[in-house]
Amino acid sequence: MYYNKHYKRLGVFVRCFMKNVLIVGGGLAGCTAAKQLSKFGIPSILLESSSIIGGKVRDYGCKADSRCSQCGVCLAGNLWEAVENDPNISIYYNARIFDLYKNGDGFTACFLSGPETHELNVTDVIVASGFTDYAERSLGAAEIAPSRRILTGRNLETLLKGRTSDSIFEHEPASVAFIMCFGSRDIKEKAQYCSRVCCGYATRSAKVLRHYYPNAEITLFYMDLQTVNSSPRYMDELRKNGIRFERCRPARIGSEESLPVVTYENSEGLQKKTFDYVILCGAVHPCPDAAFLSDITGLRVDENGFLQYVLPPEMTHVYLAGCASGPKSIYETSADAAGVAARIANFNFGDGVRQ
Amino acid sequence: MTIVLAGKSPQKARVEEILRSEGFECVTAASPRDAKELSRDFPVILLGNSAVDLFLSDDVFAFRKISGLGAGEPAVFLLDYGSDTPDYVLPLVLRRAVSTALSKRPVFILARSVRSGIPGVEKLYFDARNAGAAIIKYEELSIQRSDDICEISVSDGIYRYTLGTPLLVDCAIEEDKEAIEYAKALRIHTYGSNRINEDRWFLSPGRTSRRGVYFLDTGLIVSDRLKDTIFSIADELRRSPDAQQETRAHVDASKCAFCYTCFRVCPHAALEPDGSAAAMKVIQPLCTGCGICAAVCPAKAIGLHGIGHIGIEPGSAGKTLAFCCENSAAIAADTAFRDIDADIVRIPCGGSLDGESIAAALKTYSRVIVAVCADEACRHFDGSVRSMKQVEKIKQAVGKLGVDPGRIGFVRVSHAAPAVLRDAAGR
Repeated sequence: MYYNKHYKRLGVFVRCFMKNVLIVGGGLAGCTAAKQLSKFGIPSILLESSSIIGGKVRDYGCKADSRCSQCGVCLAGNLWEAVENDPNISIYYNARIFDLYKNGDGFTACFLSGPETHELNVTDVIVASGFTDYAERSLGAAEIAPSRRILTGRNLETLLKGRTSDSIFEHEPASVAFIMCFGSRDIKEKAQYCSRVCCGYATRSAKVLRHYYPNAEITLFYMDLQTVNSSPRYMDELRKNGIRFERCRPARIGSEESLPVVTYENSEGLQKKTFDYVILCGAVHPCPDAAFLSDITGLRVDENGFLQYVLPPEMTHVYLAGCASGPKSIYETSADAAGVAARIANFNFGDGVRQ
Repeated sequence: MTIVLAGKSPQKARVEEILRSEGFECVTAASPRDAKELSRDFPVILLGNSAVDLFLSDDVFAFRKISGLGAGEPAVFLLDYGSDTPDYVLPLVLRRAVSTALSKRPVFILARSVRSGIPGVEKLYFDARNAGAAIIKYEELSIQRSDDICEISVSDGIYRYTLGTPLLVDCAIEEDKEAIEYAKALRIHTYGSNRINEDRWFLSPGRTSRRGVYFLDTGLIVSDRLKDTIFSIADELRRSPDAQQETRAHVDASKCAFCYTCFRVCPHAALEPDGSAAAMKVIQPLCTGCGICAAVCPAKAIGLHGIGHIGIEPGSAGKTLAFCCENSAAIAADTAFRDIDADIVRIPCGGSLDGESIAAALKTYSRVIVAVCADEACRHFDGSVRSMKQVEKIKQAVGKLGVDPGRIGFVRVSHAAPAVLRDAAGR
């Protein structure tokens, strides 16, 4: 059959055995790329800055209410275990790359893993350094009062992951507010772009909250809405569920008697409203190492701080996967990383450049 | 490598050219039947050509319409009315809005969502705004049509506007009927209003529910995206990682009753009649090893390579047995059953569970749990729906025999919410 025929060509094996890929970042993009490369028989070295692979997606919770809402978390599934047990993948934990230089056809990578320094030769490099969550960075900022009832999107994900069959929060909430576009579409934060993911997870999480707490009042403060599902009338469905949409950017998120208070403006003027929980749907900001990675790999930092290709990656042998090159959903990240792996494994066009 | 092109599209020559530059040979399927025959041996790219309003797709038509507008009469582009407009229509709308605005006509774009995810669309928005197009993200909208003027009342949640226009462009799309004929012949799943591609298959662009069959809607895809999509399909075809999968179904031809049950239920269209042996046979590259065919086969002629019949060790009274789908529950099981004395049986899909296994488990275990994926999350389409029906049937059957049906539990879980599974098992 056509699936197996080309596997038997000797050239494939020769080329694949010669390749050895360095992957910077052990999150969803890095792990997907490593797993996919391993399926093609290409060994890879995975550098993870913390002591556990999986990055942010590892803590994400399922967002199905009674039905699946296609958030994409299922794609991760048992990926982490599969990567850890894969003989083709060597993982370096607590690693930090500090130099990368051209060496013959490939590169030499110098990195720290814990206290040890390593120097390895590789043929290709995948940069999958991920993103920074704006909300976590801004929790101490002036506009936001410190409160245990103000959660970031990631806190909510952890709660969703740990939810039992009848509760998500400690206390049953009477009202919950989601603040979307938090830190994106924001000139002050130098992030005029749209983060693209918070519409998805805010509306899906709102649906889960509605399923668990039918009487809670759920409000979404938004500026832009992306199309989330291709299902027609997704937004109408949400409205029918009693989820309120308020189009504005709240001016201040304060705190009174340990409950968060949101100050915002709508057509009736300035409003002040107390909620039981406020969820900050943080923007996807570039990874803090982007400038350094751009220095050592020759990639470009774009106007928003994300990494971009200068030349086609087939020429430079430096590839980008996942959110390092801009905000991406789980599906897009996974497809992107798998695509990069296929491009590296692609023997016909290994040296050619697609126009 | 040979690749089959099915369906009609004005961009077909371009698609062929790109594929040839990637080193593929193209064969054209003349009819749906032809495409079905060819799909057994070769990968297929199904081309669709969905129709949009002529004003968006035809420059000459659009020019005539624009010149027909009186001074100060606006052109209004309406998105997300009736149902959400697909993302790929937006670049067409914005480009046309720019050209309309540049010919000194007021332009309004009414949309509910922004869709900035499409590459390059931020720049198009910028251009359209600079050219003078007004973009209204509406929340409520009502239209009153009279002879030649449409009165639109639109509210964005803060202000309310009223627009009168002779040129209202509805940006909804009409799916290609012929492509759907081909999709039916190729046994690709279609959804709701006959949409061929649904969200979860954009894992890999163009992928459909059937392996080796891809769908491209060239009528609407932006030209640079078309190239990227074909590249990714080419990459995937050249080095299909699925070829290494181990679990596959196989049919025992001596037992097969040739009843076509498996042919009807297989979600991946991986079974076909083999006339010479008077038995069904498995098309190996298409089989994903979900085991649904094995569960429904009345003659027990189908088995799975890699795993045998679901074996159940005799348990003890007071113990729980959990049948866990390996895509969701089996991953969550480590965390979920930490404090619960339960045995776990991994199953490839909820659909692969037959009544006999549950009945056998009930003999020795005091409680049986079937934990599968949520309905729409099932990788084998209707596997978890099948398992739910199976459990209902078994509950009725054992109820008649005087066994408490409450001993059988059914739960839809995900690996990312293990405590739900724990609660279902601990109850």
